[in-house]
Amino acid sequence: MSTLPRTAAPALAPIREAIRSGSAAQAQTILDTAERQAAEIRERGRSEAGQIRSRAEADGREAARAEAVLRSARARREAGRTVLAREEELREELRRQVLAEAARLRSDRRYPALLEALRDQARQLLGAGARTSEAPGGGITASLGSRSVDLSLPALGSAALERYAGEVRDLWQE
Amino acid sequence: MTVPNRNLVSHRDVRELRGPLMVVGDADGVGWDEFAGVDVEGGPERHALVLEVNGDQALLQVLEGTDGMRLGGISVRFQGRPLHIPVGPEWLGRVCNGRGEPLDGGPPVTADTVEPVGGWPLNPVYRIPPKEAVITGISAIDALTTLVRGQKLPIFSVAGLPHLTLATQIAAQSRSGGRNFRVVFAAMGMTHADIAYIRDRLEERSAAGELVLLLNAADDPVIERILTPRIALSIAEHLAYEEGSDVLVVMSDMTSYAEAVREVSAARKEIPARRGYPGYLYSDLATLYERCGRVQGREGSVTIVPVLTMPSGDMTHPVPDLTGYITEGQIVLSPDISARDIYPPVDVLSSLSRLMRSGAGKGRTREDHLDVAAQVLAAMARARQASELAELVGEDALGEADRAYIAFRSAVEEKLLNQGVDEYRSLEQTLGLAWEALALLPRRELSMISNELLDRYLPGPLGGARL
Repeated sequence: MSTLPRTAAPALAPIREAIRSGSAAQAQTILDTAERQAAEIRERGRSEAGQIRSRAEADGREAARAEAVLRSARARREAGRTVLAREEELREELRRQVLAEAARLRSDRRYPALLEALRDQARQLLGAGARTSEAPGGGITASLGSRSVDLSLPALGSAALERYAGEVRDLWQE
Repeated sequence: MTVPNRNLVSHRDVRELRGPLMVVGDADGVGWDEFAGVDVEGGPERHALVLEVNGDQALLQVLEGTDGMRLGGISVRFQGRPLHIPVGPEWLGRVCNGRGEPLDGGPPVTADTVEPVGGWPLNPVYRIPPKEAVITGISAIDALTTLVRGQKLPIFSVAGLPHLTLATQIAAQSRSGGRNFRVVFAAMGMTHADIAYIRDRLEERSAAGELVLLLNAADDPVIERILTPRIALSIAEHLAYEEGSDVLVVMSDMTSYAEAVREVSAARKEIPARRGYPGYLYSDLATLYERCGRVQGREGSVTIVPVLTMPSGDMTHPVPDLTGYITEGQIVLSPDISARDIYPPVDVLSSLSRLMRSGAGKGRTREDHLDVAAQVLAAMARARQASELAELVGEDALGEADRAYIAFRSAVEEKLLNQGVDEYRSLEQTLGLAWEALALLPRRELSMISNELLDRYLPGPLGGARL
């Protein structure tokens, strides 16, 4: 290993100084860069966290909205079902009353005339030779060959309900 | 006191029961297609349809099948006319089975008017061409295959794809400018899980009294499935032409319907044609699809969106094939796109709305709509070529334009086409997304759009960042 002569030291001093200050500056630059990068990372992290938070908030809001929509839809369905069930109850009640009224016709003084009219009706539908008999619930049943006709009071009551469906609807539409 | 109609007369001369078929004797005066009630001893009433009449014998198909019936215990009441149903706004908000009987616990639907389920024949010259768009709120449809009032536009799908989600989304969201918008959803051959799903998805519109839901389950009688779309269309025609509403009829799944037609045809021992379907499948489907449209002097319209699943994805299968002859375009769903997790998985290059020009563009939707749609489709076709090339040589070896096209396709699929299952997008939003995707291409490539429109709509400084 060679050693420099003593006299070289003062001559090298400016170089040493230059190297030292150069490396100090470089260290400072590296430090500055690192700090800047750290700040950027911190900032990026913060903004990413912000984004995640706002996305999560949006997701949460959307989920809550969907849940609310579903819940209100179910509530409406339930309400609709209750209304429809009530309408059906009304219809059933009317049907019961109509059939009861129809049965009461048997004690009406015009009942024999009604039976005669129904016999005529049965003969019109089946032919003159139709055999008619009084139905157990009132009214007439008739048959001819393989054909038969049910003009009993319950059957006529049900048919009337079907025919006047519009009026039945008025029970809940008005 | 007079009791009209001969449906009070019961016929008890039942001579034969075979499968779903029943032969009734002493039935003079009964006509083809007549509907009948069947009283079975000790059981609920069933329903039947006259298929044939020969002398005094009538051949009927019992909707509920003849299981549990025996000769001697049956009486048949012919109604003297084909199946009629009450029609009117009373149907709105109701949930019924495929035969129109309530499933929602309410009373039977009644109305002041009754119409035959087969509809009345309409003089063809009274029909007027479809016009004006129906906005579905789904970008893939609104932007590229616009649905038009009075059009019939089927969705071709494959089992396992989210066609039911798409159909219910269309039914839940669609609207037309200004008029009352009503939806009739006819579900055919659905599983009970699917039915629950449909009810949930359409609850809001149903509760708002804008929707009629007819639900035929997979285990319901087959003939009922044949009646379901006809009942739906009769209801829709009345709502449209008498009440003046724009009515959308969504029918899902028409393949299930066609299978029911095949089953009935086989029971009648008819000569089968392609894949066992009867030779008249084409005209049978046409009697449904051709009931859409607009009518001179009437306000409303009937628009039909049938959904059909192509067995094994085969577009030459008789059902999609014959449907394609009758309808005005198609929306095709693709398993490949679905596999990339894109909803709705619409294959835009195979999809087409033939009447789009009548419903979109200046004075109808927006001035740039048709040009944007044409440009997006042309660019998607070019992007497909570019991606095929990229598979051979690698993306790095592609030129700048080809790379831009690939980026464009990703943007179209991920931003324009991809959408939430409950998300409604206005046409403005949809076209905005289309322009954003187009902005990824060099402006010189956008040759199908005029400079004026490019300057006005293309995002970026001076109408396009990438000059």
